[in-house]
Amino acid sequence: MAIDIRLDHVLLDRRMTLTELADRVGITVANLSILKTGKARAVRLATLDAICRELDCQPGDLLVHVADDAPGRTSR
Amino acid sequence: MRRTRTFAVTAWVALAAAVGTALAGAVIAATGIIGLTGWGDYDHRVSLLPGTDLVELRYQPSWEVRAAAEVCPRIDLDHPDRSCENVILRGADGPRQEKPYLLPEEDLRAVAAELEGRLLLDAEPGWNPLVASLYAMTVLGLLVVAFLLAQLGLLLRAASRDAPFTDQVVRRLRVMGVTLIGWELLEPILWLFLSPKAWDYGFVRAGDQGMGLELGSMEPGGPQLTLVAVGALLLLLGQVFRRGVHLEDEQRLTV
Repeated sequence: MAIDIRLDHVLLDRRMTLTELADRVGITVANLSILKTGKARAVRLATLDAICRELDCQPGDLLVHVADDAPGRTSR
Repeated sequence: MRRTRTFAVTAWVALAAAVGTALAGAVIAATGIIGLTGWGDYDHRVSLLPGTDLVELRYQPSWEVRAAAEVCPRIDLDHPDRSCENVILRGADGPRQEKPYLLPEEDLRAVAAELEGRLLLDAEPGWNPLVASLYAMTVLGLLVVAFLLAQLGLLLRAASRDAPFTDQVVRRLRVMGVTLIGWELLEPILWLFLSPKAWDYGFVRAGDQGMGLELGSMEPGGPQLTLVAVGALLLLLGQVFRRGVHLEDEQRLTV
């Protein structure tokens, strides 16, 4: 998929752990981990809303489109 | 939770049935080997709990047998016709009588009778190709049933542990479907080489007394279409479950 998930970057910026975010948005760590590692096939708008609210960010900060043939990118 | 427990209980029942069927196959194979090698008589009744008749296994080689007869249009009470069955279908008002005849109802009457059953065979201890064939096909059939029951048990056990939509369930459904169809297609081919006709057995009857038995087809029949249809249905169900697995994956990976 040509969408990169930058959740780990945003978490690092906010000095927040995945577990803490999971507690705040009411999603299991396992599910957030699926999102963070880029294994997710879809993201609910409600989830995106909750994460953006807690991390005080825009959806574009979390999701970045990268061309499939971009240098250094490997397809999953 | 209740669904999971139901699956688990059914799985154990199916697995126990599989073990029982395989055990029955093994016992029949053992009695067949004992008889065919001449080590002892064919034992058609085996008690699995010696000294009791609680768990008893009965098997005797047999072949399909039929009897067919015309029904007499009327019964001559003085001189019954021997070429047909002297029976009539009696109505609520009883049979009509026109002496010396008994007549059936005018609107509904029996015209012929067809009976089907098995001709039970016994043999002296020692090698006999037909007896060996009948034992082998019975044991093979039981092993196929045991395999199918085991697959069903494992399928239900997998469904009771995880969600029912898993690759394992799909694989087992496919294996069951292919096995059922494969066996139904293979069985008639095997009978081509193992039936009484293949071993040059025929049926000779003398006199016109008795039930007028005839051996059922001395040649094997075709596959049982009902079971082939069930096999096809299992394959179709496998496809449906594969779609279910896909949807379950989508659901699991949607955050």
